[in-house]
Amino acid sequence: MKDKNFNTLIKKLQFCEHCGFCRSVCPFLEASNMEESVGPRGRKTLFLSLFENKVQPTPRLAQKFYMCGVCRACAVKCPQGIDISEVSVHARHKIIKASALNPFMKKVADSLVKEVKNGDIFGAAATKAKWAENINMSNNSDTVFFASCMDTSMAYGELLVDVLEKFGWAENTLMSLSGLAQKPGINMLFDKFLARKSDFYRKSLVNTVKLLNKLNVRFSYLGSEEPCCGAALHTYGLLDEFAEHAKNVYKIFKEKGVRRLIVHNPICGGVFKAEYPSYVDGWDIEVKHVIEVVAEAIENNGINLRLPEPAKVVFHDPCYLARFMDVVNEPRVVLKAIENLELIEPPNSKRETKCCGGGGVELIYRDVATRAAVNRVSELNAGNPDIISSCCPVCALMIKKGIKNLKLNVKYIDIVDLVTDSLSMT
Amino acid sequence: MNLKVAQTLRKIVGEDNVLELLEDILPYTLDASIIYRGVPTCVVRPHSTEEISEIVKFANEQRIPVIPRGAGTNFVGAVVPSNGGIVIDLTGMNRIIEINPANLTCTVEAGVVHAKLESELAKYGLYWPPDPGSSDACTMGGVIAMNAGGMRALKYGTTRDWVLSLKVVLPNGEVIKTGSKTFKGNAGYDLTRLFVGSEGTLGIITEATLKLRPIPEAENRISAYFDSIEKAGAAVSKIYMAGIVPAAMELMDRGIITAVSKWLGKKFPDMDAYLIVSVDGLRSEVETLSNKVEQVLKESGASQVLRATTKEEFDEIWLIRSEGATALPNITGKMNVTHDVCVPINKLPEAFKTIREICNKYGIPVAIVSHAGDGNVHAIFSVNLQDPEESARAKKAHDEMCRYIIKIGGTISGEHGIGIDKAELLVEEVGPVVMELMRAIKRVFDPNNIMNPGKMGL
Repeated sequence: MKDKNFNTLIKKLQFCEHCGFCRSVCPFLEASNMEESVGPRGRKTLFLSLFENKVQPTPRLAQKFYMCGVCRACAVKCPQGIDISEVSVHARHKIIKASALNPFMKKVADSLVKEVKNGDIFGAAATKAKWAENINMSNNSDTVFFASCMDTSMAYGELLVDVLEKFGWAENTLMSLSGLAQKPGINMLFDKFLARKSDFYRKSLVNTVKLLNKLNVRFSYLGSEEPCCGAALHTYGLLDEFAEHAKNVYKIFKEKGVRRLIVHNPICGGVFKAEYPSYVDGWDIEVKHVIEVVAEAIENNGINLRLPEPAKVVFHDPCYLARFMDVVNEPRVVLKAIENLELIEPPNSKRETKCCGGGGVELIYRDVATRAAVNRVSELNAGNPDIISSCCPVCALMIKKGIKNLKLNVKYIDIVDLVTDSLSMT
Repeated sequence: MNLKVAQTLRKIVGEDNVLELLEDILPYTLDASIIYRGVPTCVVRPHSTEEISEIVKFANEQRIPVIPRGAGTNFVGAVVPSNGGIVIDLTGMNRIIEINPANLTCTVEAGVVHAKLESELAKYGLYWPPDPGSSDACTMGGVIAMNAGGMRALKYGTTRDWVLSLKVVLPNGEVIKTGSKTFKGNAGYDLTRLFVGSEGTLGIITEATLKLRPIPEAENRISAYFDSIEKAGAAVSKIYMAGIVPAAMELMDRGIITAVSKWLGKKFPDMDAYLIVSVDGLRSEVETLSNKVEQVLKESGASQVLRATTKEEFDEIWLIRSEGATALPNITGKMNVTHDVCVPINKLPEAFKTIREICNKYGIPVAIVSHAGDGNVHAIFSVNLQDPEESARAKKAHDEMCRYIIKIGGTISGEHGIGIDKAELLVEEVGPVVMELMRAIKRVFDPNNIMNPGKMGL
């Protein structure tokens, strides 16, 4: 299946007219002052040269393909519909195979392979189900709420990025040390230390459960047995590992009788919906974002929603929600249904949304990612909103970073938290 | 790269702005012509006119070719470093220096993207009329150096008509200003118009002051089908003869209609040509003009004449135009190779017929998109560029088409320029005397021939 994807991509690339429209939407090209070799069109040229053996895989070449957030903005813009994000993924695969990553990126790859298998990309498997300890869930349903290790453990990711930003000169050592957190004892300690940061991300999970209960949706939660979706393996170019992992995940789902997944993190939802069908024969699991469920309820039955205080809200469409899950209208249906909330549309929205600067770039090319975040937050803030809302843990991380860099007063609140806050007043 | 060259360039623009590794420079070996390639000695990314002046001065002393480059969206190989040399990437110089609504002017750096300028000007209710199809990607330096056109050229002219003044680095490193920021200017030879369309062969444009217009109050679009492309071409002249100058007249032939129909799974009338006429101006004026256009189209044998006045209706009738380039390769399984010629408007019917005949003779599928209102014809060849024999046949068809166009009083390029692609044909159009004059002009500016050598046959 993977080869089929690769062959389709090569065939489509023959139609590329080198028009450069992809240049106009790439957030990382913009953050790199438009330098051709780190933009989608430049990457296309390098990709073809790599597979024609005209250029050798080197760490410098790797930089071009890893400075891509795999956000698919270029795919939407391309008149031929060529997904240049896929170019990055397949080039990374070849570069990894040729052992041409620099030591730091190699450590990241090794860590991902190990941690995804263990069930948590940040190595916090021991505490990933902690958020649900005192929460009432219906269970015994073939519909499963997939909580996502990125949501449960994003505080670890945030800490890692922060530390790497401050002590980038020691990135190899820091990456080695990050592996320590995976030991259950240390994981527990870390979890206490990170409690405040974790609450920020985990709150949306708690609220998702509240919302689903309020809407009488029956669902189960797999708890500590919930696997990692493996999205990071795919985007990092660890395609063989991803193919194997995806099959295992499917097996787990089947053993548990899962027929339908409800996600909060659109990265997991996006990879289940857009990538798993190419890697898992017979993939038959329906995937929905919680905001689709809420929008359906609003359209079918109407729900009274009212924000405690009037607020202007701008919604940032996460790439994975808009371009991988094809969910663009539902967040608007939901936000427009909330009284006291004035919804403003930012430049670059829906399928044309601009990446927050994440997509893995935040871990490796921190400066570029931060500039991309600042660019996106500047756009989001153009209409002077009180709140920037979205629903992806990586977007949350990067938008907070952008807000901090620009010293803005605007708040970041997850859309699920906004809905829950609006519920409690009615 | 020679150590001294590298050291000097790094000293001028800084360590990070000189690229010489293959991984960095490969993307600069080609442009949207795709077929032309050349590896530069290095790529330099300057951030000021002063830096460019120093680079060029040094290159001139060392006799190293210099290739100025914007977004590389041209179709003719104009920024391919075919003789090696230093590619000067201007995309980092992307400031809009001034928008002056009182003077109806703006001043921009060379690397500003056309669409970005358009959106900034719109905030003031203004626009710059030339509208190249590559707007989302192309930079203003490239637009000016290639004298880009677009759909609105029939009413508003091309880039050359909308540039007031330029800042240019000459091949000896001197910085000059051409023209002035005034709407009138009669001080000696018009060097501004000489630099517009000079394809980087005379100097490097680093800044430009442009003439602006208020965005028209209203626009209507009228679409119509014709059972023969010749009739559609004749209708264009009839609109002019009725005293109407529309903002745009876009024509698509059966090849495009069929491809879009198959691609989108949407049924369109089984006709040979589709014409869209756009009229702009004051709301009241636009309504009157639209009525007249509809009448002329019907008298010219059009069927299914439709008028669009809202954005949604615009999008609907524009579908065949906007999806054409995407649909073709997906339906033919071959690549689009877009050619550009221009004929006197009354020769359009004959030109359409003959271009089809020539392509038919060489077995090259062709679809036609034409900015018919200004006689500009884009013949889109479907070619498998991996097949040398097919590519050679396509080249023969292209050259024969160009020679025919010259014969009927047209030109080998309406808006895409000459570059490497049409260098040999240029002399056939302009003749040896004019060609020698062009060479002489080039020698005055660039005696050592360092500026983008090999382009325009120079």
